[in-house]
Amino acid sequence: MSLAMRILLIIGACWMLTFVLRSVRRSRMRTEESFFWIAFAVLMVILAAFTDIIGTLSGWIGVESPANLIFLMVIFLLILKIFALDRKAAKLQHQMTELIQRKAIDDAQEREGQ
Amino acid sequence: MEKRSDLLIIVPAYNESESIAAVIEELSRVVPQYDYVVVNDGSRDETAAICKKIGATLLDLPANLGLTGAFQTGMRYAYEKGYQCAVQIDADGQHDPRYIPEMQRIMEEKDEDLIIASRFVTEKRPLNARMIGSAVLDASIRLTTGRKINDPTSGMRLYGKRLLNWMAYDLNSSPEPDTVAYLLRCGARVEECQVTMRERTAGESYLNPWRSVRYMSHMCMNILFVQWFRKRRKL
Repeated sequence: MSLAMRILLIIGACWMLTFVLRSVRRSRMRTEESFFWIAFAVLMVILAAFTDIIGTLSGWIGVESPANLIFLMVIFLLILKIFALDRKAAKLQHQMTELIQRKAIDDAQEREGQ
Repeated sequence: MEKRSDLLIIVPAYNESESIAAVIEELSRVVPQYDYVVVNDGSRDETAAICKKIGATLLDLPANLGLTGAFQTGMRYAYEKGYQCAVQIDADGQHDPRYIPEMQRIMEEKDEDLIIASRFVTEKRPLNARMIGSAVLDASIRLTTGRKINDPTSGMRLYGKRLLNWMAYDLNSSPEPDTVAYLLRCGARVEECQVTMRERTAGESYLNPWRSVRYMSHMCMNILFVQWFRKRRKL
């Protein structure tokens, strides 16, 4: 990997970490999500700074190209995240449904009471 | 409901139809000088019906928000009605309200922001499986704030005037140990008050062994890695 590429990677990863930390700092994210994104951003910085780690790991595991290992890892994390988001969306939808249903029933009961 | 006291007791309740009547009766008997409000967190049982029947002050949430959401509803109510402080009492009967006057007294005397009803101020915290989580949380809080909290998971906490607005409206304010850590980092004055607590009299606890482990690790991660970065707010 060329030096320019490595520098770009490190800058990109550091920028991401800064962005995540700023969001956490200003409490724009809930603490549950914050931990995942901080850990993810730190991981990116470490991998960008020490590109040999991926090389060594893929040697151990027997992956042909180190790039494949990075793809695999990131995609796996994204899948976990999407799965968690799906669960969260389901919960939100359920809450919305309950709210709407509750309002309709309460309105009807109010009218019946009149 | 007319405001009679400066302190509001908040009782978050989710599916506690077996114990809620007894808890409310105890509040009316032991600490009648304080206003209280039950926050029904979208219970599926007769919790709300029972509260309405006995005339309890009730905030009836149309959907389940979880403990944090339910408690925050109580805090909003407290702030908007002009209460000076608010204390959480669980609906399962574990918290003994007779300690509330003492907690309020300490808060006023020493101008504290947060009084935690703690089982382990004068009593030593036992070393058993149940208390591992508590010990780990205590260590995490001490590591990040320098302050020892003997009973970090105690839900019976009295929140003072300076905390009310933030607890009522912030998206991250929760009645959990990681919030205690954050408040300490913000320079909040926190004190523990020795109490005894009772075992749950009826119903089922939300926490089983697996959930307890998840909860504890979650809290630890937050205290060690997240609360650290959050901007300290001026109280």
